[in-house]
Amino acid sequence: MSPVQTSLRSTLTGKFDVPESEIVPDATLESLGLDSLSLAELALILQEELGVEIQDDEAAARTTVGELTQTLATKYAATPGPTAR
Amino acid sequence: MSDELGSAAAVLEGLGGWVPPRAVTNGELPAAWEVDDAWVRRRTGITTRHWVEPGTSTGEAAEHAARRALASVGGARVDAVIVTSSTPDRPMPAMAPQLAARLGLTGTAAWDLSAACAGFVYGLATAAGVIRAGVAERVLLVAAEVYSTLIAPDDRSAGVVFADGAGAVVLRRGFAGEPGSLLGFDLGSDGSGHRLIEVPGGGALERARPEAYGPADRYFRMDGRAVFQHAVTRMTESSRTVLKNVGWAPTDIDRLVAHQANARILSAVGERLDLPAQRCVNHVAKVGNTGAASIPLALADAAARQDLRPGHRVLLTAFGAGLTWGSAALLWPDLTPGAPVSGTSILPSP
Repeated sequence: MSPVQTSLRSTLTGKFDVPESEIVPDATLESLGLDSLSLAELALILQEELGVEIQDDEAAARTTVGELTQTLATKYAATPGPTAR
Repeated sequence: MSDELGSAAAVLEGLGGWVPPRAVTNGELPAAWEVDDAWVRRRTGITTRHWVEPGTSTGEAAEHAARRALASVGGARVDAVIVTSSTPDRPMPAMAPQLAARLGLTGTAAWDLSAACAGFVYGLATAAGVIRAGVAERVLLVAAEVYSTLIAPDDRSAGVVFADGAGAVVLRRGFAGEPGSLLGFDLGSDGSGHRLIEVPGGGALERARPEAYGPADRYFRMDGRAVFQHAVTRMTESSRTVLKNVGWAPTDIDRLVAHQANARILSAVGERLDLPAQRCVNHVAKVGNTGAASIPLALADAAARQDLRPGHRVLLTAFGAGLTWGSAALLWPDLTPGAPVSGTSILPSP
């Protein structure tokens, strides 16, 4: 599993109590029970862990797990290497 | 900045607070907001808040808290009065001179300080500077808010959170390391984020460009998502800075008293500082977000419940509009115990 997938999955399960089985590509963040403040905190945690900037519309209520994973993967690949992060 | 043991420092010696008698439960919130108790608790961690009766001024709230703080030091003479508020009664003059006059302190240096929800921590730093500079031996610092006047009637997001109240402290000249001493501060700002939390109208700019404003601009507005992220990040970073300045590790902190914005922000800051929940003071559940008054009210409540005890290493941290933020470290003093902050009875009993 990539660092992006690991970080997203562990945050959803550990911080927001989302059952592992519900984290599927087509699930929206809203359907996983995240309200607006949870979305803000999810974005903050991912920014801290992955060193990427996340815009509001990139982690919104109707964003799917698959879309967010793709956005994060693209941004993560474009950031400097681990020694620079 | 930090102090070595024995150098001059401001020392906390008195504390008082006031919330209006009218407690509003989640079930009593306006029906038009279409919120229920579970929704409000889940979103904010708040169960009750206090709102003033119509016609109550911020100056009156400030006076209630100030009198309690002064009573807790036996009426000792203060020679400077500082008021901080996001909801001042008028653009001019400042509230502090009028408060001083009501308290029988006419002639005393008195001024207002504006740093929104970070105003109390900014006020502590200002008071400490005034004391260390030899301008005053004893300072009364009052944080007072009547937020219920500033929330648009249809704004349920802010309406369920913001509330009214006032807290006050008396600081005297003393020495670093003694009980009550303020050991260090960190203050910061980022004005590029001034639109994230604002009341755009009601000032000189509206008078200069009236065509650009409407009635809604007289009310509070906030970008909740961006503010959540800034609040957590800034309070965490500022806390770390002041800890480094005073030579404390996070494990040295007995109590973290953060600006009581929202229970979820409090937990997020506590988690990032690796503090167990029992060391993070939560008062927001009982009184909501009382702006600049939130920290002194939380201190008064925790002290009355003896959750804050003499010698405790206490870290304060706040974030507010501006954007502004700040933190302070102090050793908790031995204060006269009083009643908890519920209803109107706050340390010490008047």
